[in-house]
Amino acid sequence: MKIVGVTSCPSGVAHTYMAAEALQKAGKEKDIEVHIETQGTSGVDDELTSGQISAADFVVLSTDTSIRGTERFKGKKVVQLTTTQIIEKADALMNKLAKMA
Amino acid sequence: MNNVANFVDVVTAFDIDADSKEEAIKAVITKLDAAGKLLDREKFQADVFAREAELPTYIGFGFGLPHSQSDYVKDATIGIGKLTHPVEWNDGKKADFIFLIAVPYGGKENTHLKILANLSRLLMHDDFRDKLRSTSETEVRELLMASQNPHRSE
Repeated sequence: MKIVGVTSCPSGVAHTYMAAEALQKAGKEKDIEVHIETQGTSGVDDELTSGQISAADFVVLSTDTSIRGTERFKGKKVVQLTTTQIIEKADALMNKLAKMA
Repeated sequence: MNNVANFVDVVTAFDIDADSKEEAIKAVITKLDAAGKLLDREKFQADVFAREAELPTYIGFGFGLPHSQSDYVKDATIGIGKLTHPVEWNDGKKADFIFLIAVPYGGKENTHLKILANLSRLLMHDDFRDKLRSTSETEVRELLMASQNPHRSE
């Protein structure tokens, strides 16, 4: 299974990156390929490639603030959660998505 | 190169005996102010509480991560607060460890933001949190210096 995602938060300083790390860490533990783009105050890091997006089974987007470039995910299965939910439940989310894939 | 504490000052406030989140955050801010990191203590505090009211910063694992990019910060600083007993942060969740991230607005803050992003990533790892909890006040800065960004170092 492959997952891509974009995280962002109001101040763009902390939760953006915690959520990204939580998803990457959970993915690593479960052998799921995870690529997460962060849209923070210091700019966009790890911008998703069109290849990564087209290969992904699911797209995870945070809902705290509006994500830029959501048109890239048209036609994909999108899961939307707050960064807090992602941080607390990344493991459970991965398990759930693995079952749905 | 991606060390957390290279470009950010670290101020510690261990053994905080507080009965509320507000009291605990104020105790950390007092240390920041005493270390000369703030331009206006009251206004910075108002900024932190405004951010906290907008979206509470409990991150799980007993950690609260209040933060503010504020006009009233002099130098980017991480204030580390360790509480003698947990206080309610939000929605019944309790925290006994605080990372207060204070960042000034301004030109060359990109580096600081990257480092704060690294710290945020580090906090997602159990082994780092365990080390934090068992490290003494005098050694906690060293621990941050030695901790590489888990994602970027790959």
